[in-house]
Parts: sequence; structure tokens; C-alpha cells
Amino acid sequence: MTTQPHRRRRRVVPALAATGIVLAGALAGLGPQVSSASSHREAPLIASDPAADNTDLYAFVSPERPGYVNLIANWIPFEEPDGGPNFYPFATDAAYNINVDSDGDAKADAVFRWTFKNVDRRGGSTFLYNNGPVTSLDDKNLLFKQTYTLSSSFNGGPFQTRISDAPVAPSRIGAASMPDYQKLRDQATVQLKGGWKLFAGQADDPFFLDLRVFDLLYGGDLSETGTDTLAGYNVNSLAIQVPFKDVALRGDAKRNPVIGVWTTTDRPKVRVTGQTELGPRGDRVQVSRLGNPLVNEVVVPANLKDAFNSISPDKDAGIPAVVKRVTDPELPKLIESIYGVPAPATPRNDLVEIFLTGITTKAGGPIKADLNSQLNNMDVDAKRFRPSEMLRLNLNVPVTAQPNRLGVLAKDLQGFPNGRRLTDDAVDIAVQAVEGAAQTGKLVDALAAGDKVDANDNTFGDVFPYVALPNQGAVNAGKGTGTAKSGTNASPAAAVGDSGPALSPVSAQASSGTALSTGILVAVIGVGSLVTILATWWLRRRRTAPAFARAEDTIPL
Amino acid sequence: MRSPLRTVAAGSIAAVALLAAGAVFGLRETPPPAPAPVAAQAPADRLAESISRAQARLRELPRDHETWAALGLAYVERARVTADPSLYPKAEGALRRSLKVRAADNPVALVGLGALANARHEFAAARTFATDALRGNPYNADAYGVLADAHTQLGDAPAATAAIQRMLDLRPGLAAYARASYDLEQHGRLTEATGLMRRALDAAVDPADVAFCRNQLGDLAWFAGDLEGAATEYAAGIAADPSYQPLLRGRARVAAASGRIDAAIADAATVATRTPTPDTLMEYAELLRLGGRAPEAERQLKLADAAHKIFVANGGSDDLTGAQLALTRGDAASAVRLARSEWRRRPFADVADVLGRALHAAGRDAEALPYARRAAGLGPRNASYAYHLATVSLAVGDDAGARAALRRVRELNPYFSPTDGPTAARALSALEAQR
Amino acid sequence: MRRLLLVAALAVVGFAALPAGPASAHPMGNFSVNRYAGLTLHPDRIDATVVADIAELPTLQDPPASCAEAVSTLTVTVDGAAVSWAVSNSSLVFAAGAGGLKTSRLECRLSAPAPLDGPAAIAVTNSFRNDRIGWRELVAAGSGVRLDGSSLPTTSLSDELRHYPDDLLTSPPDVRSATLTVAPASAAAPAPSPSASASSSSGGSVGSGVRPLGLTGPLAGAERWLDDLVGGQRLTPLVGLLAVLLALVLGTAHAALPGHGKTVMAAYLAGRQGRPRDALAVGATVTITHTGGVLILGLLLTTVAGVAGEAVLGWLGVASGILVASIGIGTLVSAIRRRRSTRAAAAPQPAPDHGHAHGDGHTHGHSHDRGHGHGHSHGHGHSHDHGHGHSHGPGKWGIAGLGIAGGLVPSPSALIVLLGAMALGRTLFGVLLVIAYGVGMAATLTAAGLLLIRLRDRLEGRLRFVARWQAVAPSATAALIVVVGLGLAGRALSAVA
Repeated sequence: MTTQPHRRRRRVVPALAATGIVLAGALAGLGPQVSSASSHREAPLIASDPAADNTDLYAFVSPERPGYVNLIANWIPFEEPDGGPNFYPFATDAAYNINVDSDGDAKADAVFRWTFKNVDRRGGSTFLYNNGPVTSLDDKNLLFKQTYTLSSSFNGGPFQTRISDAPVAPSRIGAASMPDYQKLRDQATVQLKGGWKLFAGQADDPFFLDLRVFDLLYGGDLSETGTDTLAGYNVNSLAIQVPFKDVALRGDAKRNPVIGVWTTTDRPKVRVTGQTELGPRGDRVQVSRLGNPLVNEVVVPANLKDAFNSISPDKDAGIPAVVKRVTDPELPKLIESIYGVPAPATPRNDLVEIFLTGITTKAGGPIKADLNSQLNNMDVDAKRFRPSEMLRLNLNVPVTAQPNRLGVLAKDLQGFPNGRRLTDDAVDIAVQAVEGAAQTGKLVDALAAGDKVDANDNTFGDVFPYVALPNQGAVNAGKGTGTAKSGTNASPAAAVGDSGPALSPVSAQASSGTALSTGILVAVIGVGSLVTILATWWLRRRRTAPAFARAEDTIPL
Repeated sequence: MRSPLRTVAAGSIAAVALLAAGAVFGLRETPPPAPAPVAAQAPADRLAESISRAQARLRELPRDHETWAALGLAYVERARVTADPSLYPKAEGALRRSLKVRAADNPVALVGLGALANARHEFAAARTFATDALRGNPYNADAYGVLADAHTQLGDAPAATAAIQRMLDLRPGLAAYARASYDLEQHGRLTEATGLMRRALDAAVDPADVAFCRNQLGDLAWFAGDLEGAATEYAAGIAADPSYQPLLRGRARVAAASGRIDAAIADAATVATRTPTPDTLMEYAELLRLGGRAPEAERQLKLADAAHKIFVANGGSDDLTGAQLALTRGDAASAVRLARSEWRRRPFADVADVLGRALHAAGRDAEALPYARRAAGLGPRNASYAYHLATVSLAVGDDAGARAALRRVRELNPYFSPTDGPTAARALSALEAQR
Repeated sequence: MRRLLLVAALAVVGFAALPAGPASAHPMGNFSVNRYAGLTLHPDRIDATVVADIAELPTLQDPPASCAEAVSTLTVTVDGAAVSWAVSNSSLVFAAGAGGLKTSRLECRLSAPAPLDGPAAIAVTNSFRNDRIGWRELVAAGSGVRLDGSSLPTTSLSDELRHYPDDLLTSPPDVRSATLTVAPASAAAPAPSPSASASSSSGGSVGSGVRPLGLTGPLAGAERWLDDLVGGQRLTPLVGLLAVLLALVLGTAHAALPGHGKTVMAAYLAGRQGRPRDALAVGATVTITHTGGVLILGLLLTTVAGVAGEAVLGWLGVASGILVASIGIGTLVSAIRRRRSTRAAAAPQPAPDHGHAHGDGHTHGHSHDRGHGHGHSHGHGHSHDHGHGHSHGPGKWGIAGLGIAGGLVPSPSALIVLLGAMALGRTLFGVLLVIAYGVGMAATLTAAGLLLIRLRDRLEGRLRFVARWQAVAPSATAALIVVVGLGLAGRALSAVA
């Protein structure tokens, strides 16, 4: 009997010592908290750069103006309608470009370039955007506005200015300050000699999707969908409408109907070494690039985004990592592991057709259709064709009277991936395509619902520039609509609920996979322990007496 | 005996289970998220927006390693802007979490850790992080930024320039322009540096970034002796972001140079209150001494000592500041020892200058001379280095050298220091009178 | 011995090898001044607690903080008129910080008269040392008044600047000012009212606005999840099973929290009057009572309009307390009586032997019981009684009373789940969940009881003082039960009043 307490004591001290070590280790592990000896040499590292924030590119034939093609490019996502006081100007030190490749060599044959200037009458003493209602772009109450210069270059020739100091539609700051925004929008829509139409300024973000679809890549699943994450937000939009002859190869859209389009932003190159003359030079450095939508989400992994943003299309085929991601994409494997939808066999040459060459029979790809590759242009030299990532549009495909949001996959050949209209549901099409629907010709039923967001929250217009007016009113406080000009028979707005600026579902329904698994784990452990205890007790009561006789229990009566 | 053991075991399992249930569910409190402020007073701050967006997203999707890394980087950036060191542990936590979710093939988290290391003055570690990040993603401009900062502070100028050039070739923008401007400034090309910093200002969007660029432009004007230009830039920066402390330091410098000591003291006091680091406290002490308030100056120096002691106690190491503090106290021996150990760690211009001054204060002028010359060589447009070279040259008897150095001080920026500027001017006139 | 030495040596080496304490650095940074102001609004006055947690450098740099400074920087206006503070309590404490410097903590309790018996608009601003970075927290709670439109929390995130949460996903609060309106509290609608929210809401938002008492963190999230599950669209069998498991766990955890008569049961069973059987019986009774209580209350709330759920819960709490107290009184009376009779019967024997024999009889009874199984329990008790004049327990009704008392107050979370399920027509599912909840509670209580019995059995005869304690134990524990019962009743009564 005396051994027991002694043994216990011997056990206690090491236990205490061990606890002491553990505690000490825990304290030490809190890590150093260094006070900042801040030197004024600490420069910003991740400064926000709106010029580099390319969001979308659209290319489609004008439904109401035959013979003209529309190219629309957007920048700066998640523009809060109340984002004062500086709002969202275009960058003045960068050039915004829309490039067109008509002969398939992945080099631009036509470049449209916008550069911007600030017209700031605030003098640095105030930050107010306006000091009274703004009824026109020349209103004295508008203290800050921008103008742009558009120049173009064809077939590598020098840039020629098409218009300078053209007005930019300002950020929409509310009904009190801008009672008739449509008027400001009309003033910012210009027509040039030669029939070109131009627009630059803020607009409703025409993209509609539930961004949570891509949470698959981060451990989420497709259970929470149906909310248009971009509803209520605005973007900066550049739109141009030009006749076919200005972009088609040799000016002949009948023989050479296919064009490839992509948008870039660039800044001047700067040298700090290696040259006698240091500083900015004539060449340009590309800071962002966009062709097909969702390439970054579906195809290009995080590590290659930087590479992709900095190279021009003619270099795509030379980066094996990018090509590999197209031929062996990650998304189908994730979908297979979560939903059991079998991933199509690699190499995915159908995706190569869609993203890198255009759908054609001439490149040996599996999709046997001639739709939108420059290889189908009659005057193209096939030997000079280079696969590259860009949005390809066939100008000869007739305009569909009733556009289908699923585009080519629903047999509406005017839709994405043959160019891209504002109403095309890029996410659903991309998800279906990445699951092989383009190759088989059949939609994958399990994913038919897609992200359950099928239309934009605002209706598009049916004349240039087509994009809806910018929203007003804070996103979470109920959106003000910015329906575009004139009645339209486009599908009605499917406003699907509120969404915060965060890329997250409404928290009341939150349940990430980890919380669930933790809960189950603890439930199992807890219940198991309790059951064990009770069972132990119950079983003990059934044992025979002598096994449990303790020395001190048997006391002589 | 088995049965007591079993009993104890059963009892302890029961207790542990109950306690665990209670501890997991009942006792640990995760506080609800703080309520959003009622009205946004400051102009739109993209950095703050991106932080709150990332926080909300990570609450829903904790396995998004990219957003964890981006949040960590954003915390580091915010710590720089607000000079609030309590964000460093948060940044480290977020970046380590990103690496826990995805350990390999996560260059963005490595870049974040590198930026954090730079902020903590652990430049060698930052260099390693940046190099590793580049191995994973050779197109990452941020990694080049971190690498450039580390190389600069470690004294490896050619490597720093190469890194900055790569950054410019990948993503020209505010971050790249600011570093390029600093690089050119280090090489003495002030006009080009100013031009690039103006480009950076054009690209700046957030008020804190505008304030940063204005501050740099003010400093560049200051180094060129242009008091009015400096004053204009600092004022414009304060209009953009009144809470950006370096602007107030600049304004104090200009006020002191223009003879308005009281205004200078007021600004320096604000800075010393908000960010009581040794360098701000030492500046404040110097101005107080100039204003004839010596006891208060002594007190600020004591505070500077305390601040440095805390920094070291927190695991930081900054012998450069230690040496400067020792010099203000008149402790030349410690100053030499500390400056030498920092020089061994990184042969940077500032360190050479302080080592030279320390050796001069210890009376070892012959040893001081090469270091003073080195500093002046590394920073040919820095009037302060030239002045220190002049004092050392005078002490060894090299009048011609001293005269040349003092002339350079006058060309570059006669206002470089409110205490030493007038001394330099007097010494130069005395030397020229001798001839 | 060698092992001990080795471990101790390792410990010493471990301690010595650690770097100098970074843990002493102020969590918000060495130059932070962290401020907290918590207002409690009464109908006739405003009480404020102002705390300032000042890090090393500001403590050294600035003159010591004082309540005068705190008073001058805390501005509270009622309908535009500033209130004037009187300091009722103040303290300034210095603690060791990093680098051999000190941090300081100022705590001031202030009070100001304010006419808040009618609706009023309140504005509060705390500008304590605004030129310093740091945590800025404002908290406002009403006591006897209702707060409308308050964006401020009612409790402190940081426990009044004692523990700064280091959640990676929240930024330190920077709340310098706020406005809110107060209105007199009406009897019908205090803030957390399960019936109001449950009957007026539908679909997946049941319980989303209500925070059942005392549960925080992951448990609250689990409850919300359960609520949403009940109201959700997809109710596959797997999901249903998970929900039942979750309800079980919630019940377990709920019973693990303070309350539910665990103290009472512990005292009871530890007083040598309870057996494992009693613990089980208590558990079973709790389940039945709790489930029944929830069901009845749920029915009541949905069928009879105008019943204020909180008031009912309060009265049930009172009833439970009274029941416990009466059981205690009964046990006390019987214990005292038996003690007197036992002492009279066993007068010649000295007290320790008495206890000793008592223990012997008890174990004898145990082995007897085991040998013959369950059915002999009554005989065992009978013989025990005869042999030593002790009752082996409070009897069936005492046990039942304990169980009833434990289960009398239905848990609000179970109530919400049931009401939500009934509102959606999933009544059976709701009842199933409530039963699972009750089983969970019972399991915890039973396990606690068994543990205590075992502990008691281990201790008996081992420590000398236990024997003496065991002599008085029955009355002592009975007295304790009475006290606890009165306490429960009193607390519930004060909540209802």
C-alpha cells in the first residue's frame, strides 16, 4: 500500500517537469514581435494598379448595324457605386489596347490604343468630385473628368490619331449629383468619320457569374451557387464599333471572316542600367492581357498568371507549362473527385482547339467543325499559323434572332466561344467545355445547372455601346438599376439576391467542409467516450466479487 | 494492480471527454467580428478594402492559400503605412497558414515572408525567401521587389540594380518606379530619380501611396537644397494623407532649415508620439536641443534608449541604431563596437558613415578616414556624408580635403542638418579665409 | 530516481536554452495605447467603465494616465447635452513589460445621471490619446432600457483589454464614436425571445437572430447549422442522421455547462447516499422531463399566442429551484433525524469506527449485490437499513425529484429547433432532435454522477478526514442542496422580475 503513493509521487514530478517544458516551449513559440524601426526607404510593394486589372473582353457582330463588329473591353472589377471621392479613373500613364490578329500568326494586325488625360480643376485643395448637379460633361460643377486619345495602327504601321480629347463618361455618383446620367452617356458616345463608334467610361459590369464556382480550386464545392457575385458593381468600359473591312485580313470579310482579339495594357519601358540614357524609352512593357474569359480560372494556374500577363500571344506556344495546362487541366479532375463526373481523357485537344487555335478541321483537332480559326481564312498561309490564346470571332456567322446563353453548345453558333456576346453565359459554357461537351456535342447533365446565374442583373441595350448604365447606390443597400437605353427583347434581369463585396456566401448558411468534419469527429469522440464509460460501469457491476476485493475493503467485522 | 489503473483510466477518460466537450464547445470564445465602422471618413482606401474582403473570404473558405498569402502581404503593407508593428505577427500567421495549406509550389507566400523579413530588418532571410519564390515563379515582379530591397540594404548594389531592372521589365508600376527612383538616387542621378518618382506619383491610387511618392519627391528636393520645392511636396502629401508620418518629419526638417524651430519641434513631437522609434526620438531630441530645451532633449534620448532596448528585447537586431544612440550619449567605445558589428553584417553607406563618426568620436581619426571616404563615395549626393568626411579630414590635418568636402556640402544642400549646417558654413568660410 | 533526475535536468536545460522572453512584449505593439469604454445605460443614469492599456513606450513617454484624463476624453451626449461624469472608482496598475520597462493599466468607473426613462438619442466619443495607435473599443449595453440601432456590441471582445484576440481574420477595432437610441424596455419584448423570433420567421432563418444563452464559438455555429438544417431544403437520411448526432452532442455540451443541477446531484451522490443506479435514474428522468418540457412548451407557444417565452422559462427556473430546495429540505430533515437515531443507537462506539463499519457494510452490500444481480437491490437496502440504521438513499421520489429539477428548464436551443421544425411541418424530425438532445444531456449528467460516485468510493477509507466528513456528510450535502436550490430559484426570480 505504501508503494502506491510513492510510485504516484515518482510519476508526478516528471509529469510536472514535462508540463513545465511544454509550457515554456509554448511561451517561446509565440515568436518575436519586432517593433518597426521604420526607415523612410520602405517602398510600397503591392500598390493597387487599376490599369492592370483587365476583367473581360467581348467581340460580336452588331445585330442592328450589319457589317460592323463590336469590341468591348472592361477594367477594374468590383467598382463600388459609392466609391468616392476619387472614384475610378483610367490610368494616365498606361496605354489600353485592343488587338486584332487576322492572319493567325499571333501578332497584332490591327491595334486600337487609348490613352487618357486628367482634367482636374480641383487644384489639390479639395477632393470633391463635383460641387453641384452635373447636367452635362461640360458642366462647371464637374470638377474632375478625363479625356482620351484614340490612335490605331494597321499591319505594323505607325500609330495614327483618330480622335483626341474625346470625353470619358464619368463615374456615376448618384441621382442628386447626376440626375440624367443617360445624357452624360450619350455625350460620351462618339461617332467618327468612316463610321467608327467609340465609347469610354463607367458602365454596369456585364459579367454575371457566381464566383464561388471557382472555390472548387480551394476546397469548396458547388453547393453554394446562384448569387451573381458581380451584381450591383460597375466597371470601366472601352467600346469600339468598326466595319468589318477595318479588321479582316486584306479588308475582305467574305474570304477572311475570322479574327482573333485580345486586350492588353502597357506602360513605357524604363531602364536603370545597361544604357547610357536611363529612364523611360520608346518600347512598351505589357502589364496585363486578356482574351478568352476565365482562362486564369480554368486553365492558367497561379504561378503562370504573371507569365501569361507579361507575354504576347505569339509567345504562348513556346511556354510548355501553359500548353500543358490546356491539354491537362485541373478543373475536370476536381469535378471528378467531388462529383464523380468522369474527366475526359487527356490530352485535351478539344480545349486546345477552343482556346489556342479556334474550332477548325484544319488543325487536326477532335472537334470536326469549321467555325472560328484563322486557318479557315482563305488568304492565310497555314505555315505561319501559331496557336495562341485569344478570342476568335467569325464575322460571317449570321446574327441569331433569339440568342441562347449557352452559345455554341446549344447550337447557337453566334455565341461563345465564337466571339463573345454580352448575354453569353461564359461560366456555364466554360465548365461544360472543360468537361468535354464541345467534343461530344452533348451537355453534361450533372453540371447542367452550372452556377445558376443565367443572366445579368441589368438588361443590355440594343444599340452601341450596349452595356447598361452604371449602378448607383451601395451594393449591399439595395441596388439601383442601370437598365440600358431603349426597350429590348433580351431576357429579363434575373436579379438573384444580395451579395457583398466579399467573395463569400451569406454567412447564415455558412458551413465549410472543415467545420462539418470537425463537428462529426467531436460528436463521434464524445458519444463514444460516454458510451464507453457507461458500458464500463455496467460491465463492472457484473463481475465476480473476488476480482475486485481490495485489501482495505475486507475489514474484520 | 490492474483494477485501480483501469478505474483511474476510465475516470480520466470520462473527465477528459467532458472537459474536452466543454473546452471545445463552451469555453473557447471566438469573438464575433467587430462591427463595421459607421461611416467611412477617409478617402477610399483600396488596401483596407482588400484586407476586409480577404478576411471575409477566408472565413468561408479557409483552404484558399492564395488569399491567405495575399492577406499576409496586405498586412505587411498596412504595417508599413500605419507604422503599427502589431500587424507583423498577424502577417506572419497568415503567411504561415498559407504555407500550411499548400507547402510546396506557393511562391506568393514566400514573397510575403520575404517582405515581412525586410520589414523586420532581417535582410538575409528576405533574400533567401525571394530567391526561393523566384525559383517557383520567375515572372513574379513582387519577388524581385523584395529581392531588390534586401540586396540594397545588404550593400550589394549591382545585384539590387539587376533585380530592379527585372522588376521594371515585368511590371512597371508604382512599386517598380519607386525602387528604380531610389536606385538612381543612390547612384547620384537625382534628376532621373525625380522623374521616375513623378511617374510613380502618376500611377499612385491609394492616398497612402500618393503620400509616399510626395514624401520621396520632397526628400529629393531637400537633398538638392530646394527648400521651397520640398515644402510644396510635403504639403501636397499631407493634403492627400494627413496621417502619413514621414511627411511630418520632412516638414519639420524644412521648418528647422528655415529657422522656424518651434514649428519643427511641434511636428517632430507629433511624429515621436505616434511612432516612438529611436530615429524619430533622436530627431526630436536634436530639435529640442536646438530650441534650447536641453532637459527635454535628454529625456527624449532616454526614451530612444528605451525604445531600442525594447526592439532588441523583442528579438530584433539593429546595431546601426545602437551605434547612433551611443554617439548621442558620447559613448564612443560602444558606438565603435556596434557600428563595426553592423558593418560586418552589411557594408551599406549609412553604416560606413556611422562607423566613421564613431571612430572619429573615439579619437581614432586615421582609422575613421577610409570609412568616411567610403560613405561619401557610396553616397556622392549626400551632404551629411560629405560633412562627416570634412570633420574627419580636418582632424587628420587634410585641410584641402576638408575644404573640398565642405564645398560639396554647400553645393548639395547647405541645410542638411539644423545643427551641423551652420557649423559647416562657418568652417568653410574659416578655411577659405586661411588661404 | 535517475529518471527523475534526468527529466529535471532536461527541464532545466530547456528553460535555460529559451531565448529571452518575447512573450512579455505588449500584444498590440510597444507603442500602442489601447482604449476601451463600456457604457451601461440605466433609466436614470449612465455607468461607464473606461480602461486604458498603455504599452511600454507611452507609459514612459507620457505622464501617467489618470481618470481625470479619461473623463475629459469620454464624451457622451444625451439628446445633444453632454453628461458630466463622477468617478466612483479608479486604479492605475503598472506591470512589467519588455526590455525592463513597464506597461500601465488604467481602470475608471464613472457614473453620470441621465434621464433615460423616455426615448433618447445617445452619442458617445472616446478620444483618449487619439494621437497614438492602438485598439479602440466601444461597448454599450442597456439595463432596464432597450437599445435600438446600436452598432456597438454589448460585451467586450477583449474582456476589457485583458485578452486581445489574435484571430488572423479580424483587424483590431477602430471605433472612436457611435450613436444609438434608447427606449424604455417593455415587458413584452426583451431582446432574446425565442418565441417571437421562431414564430415570426420561416425557412432557413429560424434562430438566426437569437443567441441561446451561454454558448459561444463553434457551438453557436453548430446550433445555427442545426437550425438551418431543420429549415433547409435537402434533408437526406444522412443529413438527418448527422443532425440527430449533432443534437446529441449539443445536449451533452449544454449539460456540461454550469447549471442543470449537476452541483446538486454531485452533492447528493457524494454524500454516500447515492449509487450508480441512482445516477442512471437521474439521467433517465432528466431526459424524460426535458423532452416533455420542451414539447409541452413548444405546443404552448405555437398554440397560445401572446405567451412570452422568456417569462415562462424564468418561472420554470423558479419552479426548478424550489423543487430542488424542497428535496434538499426533505433530505436534510431525514438525515438529521437518522443521525440522531443512529447516534443514539450506536452511542458506545466512537465515531471513526462508526464510519468504518459503515463503509464495510456498504461494500459488503456491493459484493452481495454483484453476486446476486439487480433484483436484490431492495433487499440489500433493507438489510443495510436494519443493520446500521442508515437509509441508502433518498428513495425513489428524491431521485425522481432530482431528475425533474434537472430537466425542468428546457434549453432554448432545443426549443428553437423544435419550433422551427414544427413551423415547417417537420414535427417528427423536430421531436426526434429534441429527444436526442435530452439523451445527450442525460448522458452527461449520468457520467458526471458515476464519476463522482467512483471518486467517492476511491476516497473512502483512504484519507482520514473523509471518514469524519462522511459522518456529517448527509446533513451537509442536504444543506448544500437546499442552498443551491434556493440560489437557483432566486436567480430565476431575479431574471423574471
